[in-house]
Amino acid sequence: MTAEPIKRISIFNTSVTANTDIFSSDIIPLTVPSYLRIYVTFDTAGVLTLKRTNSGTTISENLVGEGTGGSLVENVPYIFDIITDDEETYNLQYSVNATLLKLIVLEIDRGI
Amino acid sequence: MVKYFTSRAFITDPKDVWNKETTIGLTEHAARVHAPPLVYDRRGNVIYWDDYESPNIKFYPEIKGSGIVQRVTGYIYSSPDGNSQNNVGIDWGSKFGNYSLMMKCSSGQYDYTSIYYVITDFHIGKLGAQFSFATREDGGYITLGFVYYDGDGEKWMGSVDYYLDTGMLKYLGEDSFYHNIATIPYFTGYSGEKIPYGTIKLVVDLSTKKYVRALFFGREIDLSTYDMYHSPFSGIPSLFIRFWIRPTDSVSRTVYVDNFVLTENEP
Repeated sequence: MTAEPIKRISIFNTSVTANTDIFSSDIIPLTVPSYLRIYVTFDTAGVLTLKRTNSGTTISENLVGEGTGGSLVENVPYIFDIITDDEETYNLQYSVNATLLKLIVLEIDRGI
Repeated sequence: MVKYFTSRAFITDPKDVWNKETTIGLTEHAARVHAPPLVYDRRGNVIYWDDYESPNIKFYPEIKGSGIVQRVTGYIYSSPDGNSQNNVGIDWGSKFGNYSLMMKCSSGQYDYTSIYYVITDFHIGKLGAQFSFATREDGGYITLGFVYYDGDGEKWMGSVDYYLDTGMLKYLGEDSFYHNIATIPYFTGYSGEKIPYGTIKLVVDLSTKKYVRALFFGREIDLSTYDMYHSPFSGIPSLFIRFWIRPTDSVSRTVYVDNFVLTENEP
């Protein structure tokens, strides 16, 4: 069996508001466990945070840019893998107002 | 030329007008769909099947409340006291392959979680639908049904409703109410043990708007005297095959579904 990535979210050159959910509704994984592979580039430096919700409780996990003290560098693409679990939903927030140059979220049902 | 079978010669392949077996006979089909484990009841010609191994889920979820439908694998659990021999195992998993479809409904009185598949490629005749499911629940409702849709509404409906608490099986009558058929207790497992997958199958006759039979865990129930709920129809029909779960006792319920098979030309 081979992994089959499924496109879940795709955003191109769109403004985002600081500390506000980027997706209009949370991503509910089609398969658990699976990977949400996130490719993302902003035009402004900031901190990208994963919002993980389970049974009405949301926790935050900062997706850290390596060697930058936590912030992502502007105009640089980053890739993150999020491991999903039962009954969780997912969203993203950015710490500053910015233009989201590109974001694509793939759901991958098994390791590749 | 397509030739359809209504016989019980299950291992016979279709032959063309020159009496040659075609290349998509039952044998090849069986090999492709791993038929021996997949097709619990082999009557009828398979026109669609799904074992939920693909991450592209072909069934549409319809949920009232905060239920969820997801493909899942099993997971290893172990005893909290560290005594590995007492309580270690693989929970759920799937009937075959790596995945099953987990359906969870929320606890509200009228909440439900359902999946349905829509098909337009079928013949007006006897159709069968089967699911295998497993659950550790001691309550909740499971419903398997056909909905015949003509673009203007749900015109024919045939469904059976199974109550896990008591094992009561009901059918949807011509009067749009559910009526008792039989009591078929669901398997009761040992504590901590995986509950085995069991198969339910419903066969209806779209040409007469009557039920034909139901299979529940190996028991066959003759339903041929029962009429389906129906109303006048027009237009091009499509068929929804639907599987619901509903809560009881204000408790959310979880059911694992695997190996859906849709057949036509049922005897």
